[in-house]
Amino acid sequence: MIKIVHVVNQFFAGLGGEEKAGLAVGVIEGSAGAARGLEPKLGDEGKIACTVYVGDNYFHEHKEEALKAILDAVGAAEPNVLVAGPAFNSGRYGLSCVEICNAVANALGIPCITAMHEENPGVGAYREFVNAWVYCLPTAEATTGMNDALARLARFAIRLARGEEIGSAAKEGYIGRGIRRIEKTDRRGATRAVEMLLKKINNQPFESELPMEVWDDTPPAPPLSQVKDRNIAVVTTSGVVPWGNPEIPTGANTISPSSKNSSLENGKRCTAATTWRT
Amino acid sequence: MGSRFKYESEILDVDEGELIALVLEDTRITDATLAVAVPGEKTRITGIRDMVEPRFKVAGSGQVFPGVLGAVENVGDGRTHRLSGMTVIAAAEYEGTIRAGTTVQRSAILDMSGPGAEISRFSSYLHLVLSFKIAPGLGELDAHSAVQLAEYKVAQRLGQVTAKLSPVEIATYDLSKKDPALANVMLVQGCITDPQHVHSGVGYYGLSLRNSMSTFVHPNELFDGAVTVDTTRSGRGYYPTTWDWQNHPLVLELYAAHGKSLNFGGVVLQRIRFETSHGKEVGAQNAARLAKAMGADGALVTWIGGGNAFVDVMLTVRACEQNGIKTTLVTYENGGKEGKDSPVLFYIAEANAIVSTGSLDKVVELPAMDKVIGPYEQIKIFPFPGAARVPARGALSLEARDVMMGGADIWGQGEFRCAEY
Repeated sequence: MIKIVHVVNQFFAGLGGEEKAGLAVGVIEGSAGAARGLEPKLGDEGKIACTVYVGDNYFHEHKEEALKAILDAVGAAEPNVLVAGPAFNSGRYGLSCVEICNAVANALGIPCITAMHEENPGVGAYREFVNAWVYCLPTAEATTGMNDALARLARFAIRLARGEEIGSAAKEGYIGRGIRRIEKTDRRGATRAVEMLLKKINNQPFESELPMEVWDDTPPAPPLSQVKDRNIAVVTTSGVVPWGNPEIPTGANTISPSSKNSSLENGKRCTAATTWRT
Repeated sequence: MGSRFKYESEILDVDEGELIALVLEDTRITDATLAVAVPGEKTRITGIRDMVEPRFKVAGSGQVFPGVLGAVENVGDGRTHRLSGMTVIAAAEYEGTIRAGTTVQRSAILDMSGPGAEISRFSSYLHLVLSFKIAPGLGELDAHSAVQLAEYKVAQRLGQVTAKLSPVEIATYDLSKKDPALANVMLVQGCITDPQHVHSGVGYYGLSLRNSMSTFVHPNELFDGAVTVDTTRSGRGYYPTTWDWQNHPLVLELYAAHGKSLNFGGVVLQRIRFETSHGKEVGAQNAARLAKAMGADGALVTWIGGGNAFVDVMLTVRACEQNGIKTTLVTYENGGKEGKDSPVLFYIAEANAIVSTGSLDKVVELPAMDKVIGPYEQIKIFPFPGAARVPARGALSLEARDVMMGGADIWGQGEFRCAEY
């Protein structure tokens, strides 16, 4: 029997609306509130060990204490998988679902699944965490999509708990995390390339296999009127190392992975008293 | 292997003594041996410098590998015989004189079974492995020339066995028959070159391409070996082998569609990795202008290279699109071991049609093999001097796919790609 902890906000725990958004973390045995529809969707395969709730405002105003209390509660329940949400288009709730999933996956090594609308700000946080143990399913904007979301969450949770291999975002229907993994297709790359180009030439729809990130150009700041006696910080991604590059093994290629700039990683400043080079 | 040359019922007999004697004509080479590697065997080939398909010209001007094996003569016409199910692999022991940087000598390995074989496009061929040592103290250009002549001479000699035989199958590659109703599509082939090195990495009729502007190449010239590689560093990482140029999958795929869904307009051979932003722009726009002058409506854009050469590639995509040439880019990805880093290092909005051929960065665990063919019993995973040596026969844990010949699928020969998870 698969054991699940379900994390919800005060509203979906059935404890109240906005006036209760300040509620601290609490634990209810079994399933609770408007989210209790999850358990029947698990069938005979799983049960909700407990429902952990937290108020929407409390989580964001007391994040450290909230996360600690949630980790304690989840750790004590020893679930196979954690389900958070669905949060639909509720911003605070979506963000807390994603942050809780990320923390639980990192601290306890438990796979986590949440669900929300693709425009929920939680999705942005989810993409930034790039956590291989956290998945997010897309939902409708409003709670009218509850039944469908819970059914898909239940199926996904069971698969995660069983340790099943989860395929690509496009194949499995979760929101992509920007993790690129190798897969085998049914046609070689050269064949796919000619097909894609012909579609593009003939103005038919096609799907790029590597979506472009489009970056904004940032114009340089205007020059300082006076340089003398100004304090100037240089911010660079050029890979500076101490002069002479002493950290690199003798004879190694200069692009050796060991040339990682540990000084910067440790958060130290490259002060002007030291000479640096790229 | 025996003591005569004969081809019958898909079996090639080779005269081992004659081939060894042919290779040892070159006094730069010692200790030459031949061995056969068969798909599915628990065999690892070491010290791989290059791989070539045996071909022989039976009609038309010139001979295969013009400017290398013979005079600089036009190729790409007439008839060329090929032994398509096999290759010749040159596996050579060579230390090199260049100590660091992109031009340091390096060699690759190939597993004929197991996970390494699943990854490489080369493990499904029957290989005649020519293994030898290069006289100590030779510089990179001499070493390259020794390896290249040895493998090409052996391959040509094998091709010659079929000279008087009638082919089992004949394919005609003719660009002149065009359907005016179809779009004209070219291949823009970017090539990283190291102009500071004695061999830039890409040979055009035996001549190193350096800081040159783009040039037009008829795809049939590639079939006859007009473009070749630097054998002191080919076959490893993103560097193609001679075999890849002879069997360029994008050229073959465009030919397959020629006259049916498009007109194949030929190849633009473009030098990439200019040192400056200025150079990259000039090179990119020059390639696009040449494609436009050749009447291209569309182009497959692909490359050889890594690092900042990708900027040249992306600027070429942009320049083509700005000239009204619709593009699809074919590229491998990086992205780090877990695939969480940026898959490519430069982005432009115009590159909206990309075919991914997989990632070079993935960790690979190779099991121990029963047999090692090639000059090295101990191999270096990293090419720099002083790098640790590990037993070639044992299990290998690779941080990236560079060291495997065919570890990176540069031009879409295989079926792998990266997808978002």
